[in-house]
Amino acid sequence: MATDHLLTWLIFIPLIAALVMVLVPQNKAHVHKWIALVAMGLATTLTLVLVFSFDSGLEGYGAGSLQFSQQLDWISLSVGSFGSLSIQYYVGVDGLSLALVLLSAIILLIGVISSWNITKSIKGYFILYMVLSSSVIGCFVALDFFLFYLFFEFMLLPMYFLIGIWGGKRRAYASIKFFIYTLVGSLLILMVMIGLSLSVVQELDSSVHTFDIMKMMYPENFIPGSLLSIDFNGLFLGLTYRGWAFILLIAGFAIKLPAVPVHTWLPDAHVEAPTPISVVLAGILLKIGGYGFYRIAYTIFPDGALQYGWWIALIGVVAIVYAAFVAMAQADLKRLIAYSSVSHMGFVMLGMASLTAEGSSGALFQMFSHGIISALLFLMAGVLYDRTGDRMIANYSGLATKMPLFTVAIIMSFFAALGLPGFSGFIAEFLVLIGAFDGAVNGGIVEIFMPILGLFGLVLGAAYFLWTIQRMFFGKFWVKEEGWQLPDLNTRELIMIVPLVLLTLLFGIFPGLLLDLANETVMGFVDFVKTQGKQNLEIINALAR
Amino acid sequence: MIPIEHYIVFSAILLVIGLMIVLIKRNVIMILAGIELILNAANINLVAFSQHDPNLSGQMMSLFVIVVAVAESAVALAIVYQIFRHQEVSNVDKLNELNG
Amino acid sequence: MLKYTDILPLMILLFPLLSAISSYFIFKKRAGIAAVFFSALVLVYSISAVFFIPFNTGFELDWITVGNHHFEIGLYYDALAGLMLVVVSIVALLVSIFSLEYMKHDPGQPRYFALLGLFAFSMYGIVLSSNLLLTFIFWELVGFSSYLLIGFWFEKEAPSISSLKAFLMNKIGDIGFLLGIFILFAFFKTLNIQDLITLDPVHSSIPGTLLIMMGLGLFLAAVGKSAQFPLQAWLPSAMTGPTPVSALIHAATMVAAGVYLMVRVFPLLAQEVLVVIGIVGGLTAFMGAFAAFAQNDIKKVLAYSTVSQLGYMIMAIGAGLPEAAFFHLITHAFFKAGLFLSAGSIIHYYHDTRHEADFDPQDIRNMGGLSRVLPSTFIAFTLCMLSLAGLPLFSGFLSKELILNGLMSADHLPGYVVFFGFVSVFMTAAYMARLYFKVFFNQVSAGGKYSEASMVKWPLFCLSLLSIAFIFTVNPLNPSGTWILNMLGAVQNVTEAQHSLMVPILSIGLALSGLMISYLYVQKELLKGPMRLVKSMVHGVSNNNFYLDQMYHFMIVEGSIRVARLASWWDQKVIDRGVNYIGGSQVVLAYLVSWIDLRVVDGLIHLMTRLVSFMGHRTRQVQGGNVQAYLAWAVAGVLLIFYFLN
Repeated sequence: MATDHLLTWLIFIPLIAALVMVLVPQNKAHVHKWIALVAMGLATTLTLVLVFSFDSGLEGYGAGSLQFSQQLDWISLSVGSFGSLSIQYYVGVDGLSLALVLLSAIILLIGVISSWNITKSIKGYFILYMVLSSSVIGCFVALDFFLFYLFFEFMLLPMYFLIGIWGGKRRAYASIKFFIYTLVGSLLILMVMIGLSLSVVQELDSSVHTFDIMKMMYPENFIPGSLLSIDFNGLFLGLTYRGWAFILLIAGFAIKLPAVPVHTWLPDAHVEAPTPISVVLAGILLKIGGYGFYRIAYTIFPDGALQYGWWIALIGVVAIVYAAFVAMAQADLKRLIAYSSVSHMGFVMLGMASLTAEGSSGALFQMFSHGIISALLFLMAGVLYDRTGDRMIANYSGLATKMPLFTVAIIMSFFAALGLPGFSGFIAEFLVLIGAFDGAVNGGIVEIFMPILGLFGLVLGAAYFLWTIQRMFFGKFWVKEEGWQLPDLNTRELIMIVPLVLLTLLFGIFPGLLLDLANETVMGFVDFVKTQGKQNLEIINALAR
Repeated sequence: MIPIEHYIVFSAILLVIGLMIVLIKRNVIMILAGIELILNAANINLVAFSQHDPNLSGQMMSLFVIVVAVAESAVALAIVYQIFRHQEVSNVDKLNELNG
Repeated sequence: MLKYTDILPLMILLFPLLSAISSYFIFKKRAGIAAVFFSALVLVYSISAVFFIPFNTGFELDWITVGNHHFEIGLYYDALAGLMLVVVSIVALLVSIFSLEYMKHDPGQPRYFALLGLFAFSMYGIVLSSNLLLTFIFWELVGFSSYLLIGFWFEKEAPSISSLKAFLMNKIGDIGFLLGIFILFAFFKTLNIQDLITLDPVHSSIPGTLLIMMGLGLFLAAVGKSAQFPLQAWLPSAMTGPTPVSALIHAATMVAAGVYLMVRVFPLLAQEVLVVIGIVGGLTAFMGAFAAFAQNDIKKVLAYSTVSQLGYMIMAIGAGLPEAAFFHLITHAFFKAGLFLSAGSIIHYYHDTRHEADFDPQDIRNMGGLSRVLPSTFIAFTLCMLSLAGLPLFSGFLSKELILNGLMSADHLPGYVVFFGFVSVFMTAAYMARLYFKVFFNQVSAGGKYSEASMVKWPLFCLSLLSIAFIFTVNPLNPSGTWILNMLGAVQNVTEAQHSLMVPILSIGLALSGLMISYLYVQKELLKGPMRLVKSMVHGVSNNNFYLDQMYHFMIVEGSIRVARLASWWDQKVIDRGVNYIGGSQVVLAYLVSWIDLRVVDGLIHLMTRLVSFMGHRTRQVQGGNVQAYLAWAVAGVLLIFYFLN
């Protein structure tokens, strides 16, 4: 089929673009820009082809439900008496990951447009940006744990430089903080990956150890009695090794998400990063945390999902409320938006943990919708910062009289973010909360107080966003420095903002466009986690007794 | 006849005196004198022991020693003179040109 | 598929949206004309709908499919929706016409009429929605358009703050709405209102606490939107919006949406919830009427009066008479819109004639003698006021009678609710008369010759006509005979409520005495002594609306900002600093390790070399070129050899 290699193309187009850029001399700035734009435009087109040729009726979850998949042997290492390690180049998408690939393509394209007014060493910037794009997409389509980890780590480096070189005043601090935080997260994941590779074999009685996630799903593929198999009889600090592995994975991905209390890299990274990088960071990189929950943690350790789901939901709810309060007290617009991201990501955790079709769809929808809305919000902050170099809320007042178009845009994006019906954020929050509530009432993992606290978070969200509008845009016009020039939105900004606004409206009014794509996958996923988790738990508990 | 022990004791005293001079004195000339004393102590021993030797080879040897000593002291004095001319010292401690 | 009977409601829903788009993007200069045109069209459609569309029809479409559950959206047309549509579209049309005159000098006209269109779209959505989810969506959207309209003059400080306040208080109510939706969905997997009514949650297996929680949640939504205690504080501040907006949104339609919702979901409410509803309604009716006394802003008096009247409607719901509540909603919509538009006409007059910077055109202390300057306004105001006071021959009398009757026969409500109901009748008449006499009589205002524009006169005329009892019934003394109850099929239900002659006599007496006392005090300047006493006791409480605003400001606004600061402090000083310390401690550890590396590991090596060099230093004397030393050693060696040879 013609679509067989699409995913590989998707990963490699940005890399090829980066290689081409290496060959183009430094002083041809606009050539670099256009190469990046064309590459991402091509990637977006390919993604759309993927979306339209995707069969959303395919039922189930696991290897059978994957489409456009491609599986090649990559590295085969034989390690003495241990057997051999097989690392595969294994890519493929199901409904959920396809949605996130679509999001990445959109946001990365917008990010390129937003990068148009970067002035410092353009060549290096766009090469790094392309490398980042490639690894982001790779992360969402990789199905081999090793490959996933490779892309996951590979993302760090360009990000570190993009913040550290093109960032604001405290960029050195922010970038190193981002780097160390994420590195700690990935170390936790690495530990589990090594443990898994020790335990999982390609076929029973063979000694070929594999990183294939689709193999790791089923306890049959674990060597009986090995460290992470369900019949391993041993505890570490009172928990089974599988339990620890699940917790480590969740912790690792929670840093990326980010969840309270490991979220503090986010505000700094966002404040210091240049606008397009903030957009990419909030729009896509955070979603990899949520995606990791789904693809890695919940899929490989469904028993852990049932055992510790309550705590995940609790952390999610705490994040929703706590980050909303913190956001309310911020004086810096970008920090406020950053904390609102933390608050919104709490919904992803809550929805994921509820293990209902509504909750999980809601979590996916929240990832998608927040990707678009946060991109929009950071673009807004960038618009103001480009004009004045100042992001303090208190330094502006009554901007509506000077910048009417900008005000309309910001009112739309703020209301989208606070979940006004008609925008995609509402669907996401509604589905997460109704799923959590449904789960709570009908004997699920979460409890009733959690969605109710989540509702409370909605009011707080409205409060800090509207308060910001009231302080910055309404009232008499006043800004701190008289010399500030405040022209209204220009064409380039409109090109970025209008499509995003239209997208959030589109998905807010026709949520089926996205939900139907992923519905079968989500149902299969929830079903898989519940049944497989229950089976695993029964064996584990029988052993413990 | 004077018993042999007396000679030995005498030559030993002479040896020790010579040795002490060589070890303690800083002046090169004095050291040469000390060496002479040591040689002479040896000579006394040679002569004394040759009493019991019908071939008198000990006395022959002592004569030989005296000749060698004269030659040696002539050379040594020449060296010392040359050193004194170059270094203007006669103190052995100052002669540390070869000391690393 | 859509049937032709579904097209009409759909058109009614979509025309205002079209109006909004066209008045903002296309007809910028003639935005008002477009708005009036579409409003008129909607009115024609909604009246013809009553005749041509069979009741209890509708359609549902799948909107979201998640898992095996479907969330549907759809429209449902019944008598309730039909009547409500007519009422809303009449008021909307009249307000649009009035706005043509009122807003004619405002540069923001396209925005204004577009927002009116957006509001009407969302309001019709609430009315026509068949489904709680869709209702909620439009519920939020009316809140949004109300937010933008309250803050229409955003460059001023007060509107921007009161719009924020209104939206947030509504948002609190919306939480309750969502909670109710969640509980219903968790148990019944459908949100279609008619299906839910058929499933009959009250007698189903839902646990009692959740059933009550659901009812209270839905009621909380109405509390927010209909400005009931304790969330009523947003409505008086919402008066910073343009006056026609206040008439349409904050008197006639949007605030009544809460009542409409309660009427819609009435069969889902448990008895315990009804008690709470009754008490809250009574309390609100009393508090609103009480607070209206000491206001000096003409719009604020009317706003508090709206709060109080909404309290009546909610009380009726609590008493188990949703039809009475709905009837009062209709009559109130007309006479209160009339009152607001009259106020608008007065404000407009002062705007046109008085240009002093510090002149407040809304302050009733600046007004007087307007009966001769604005005769049409005067007549309209008089009629609407009498209707509000609940005098016979006016529409207000009919609906209020029904409610009071219902209260008398509702055994589950505590007695003080009935007391609130009656005492508020007296207070309503009294504060309206105070306003009336202060504004229209006494000294003649300084304004010159002035004639009211026809676009002001006609809406006022229509609304005051609609406040007459004969529009609703042939016998103005028998409230249960109106055709509205007949249409709702509720005559039976209402007449079952105990009917005693005492109720009308008592209420008319109370209303008349209220009018009389204010007349004597304001007009004839009698009763100064006792009034001064009353004033000294309660003026502050009344003027400040029981200090609710201050309390909320202190407790909730300040409180949450304080919590926010605390959280932010915690985040920065504890979590982030903790992280920094962890990071820092790594550095400290690194220094420690490097110190150990330098001093201990490296130090050992150094020690060895030092030792060796020390030894070397010590022993180099031997090879010092000191011949005498050599000799000494040689001698020592020889001596040693000798020693050992022995």
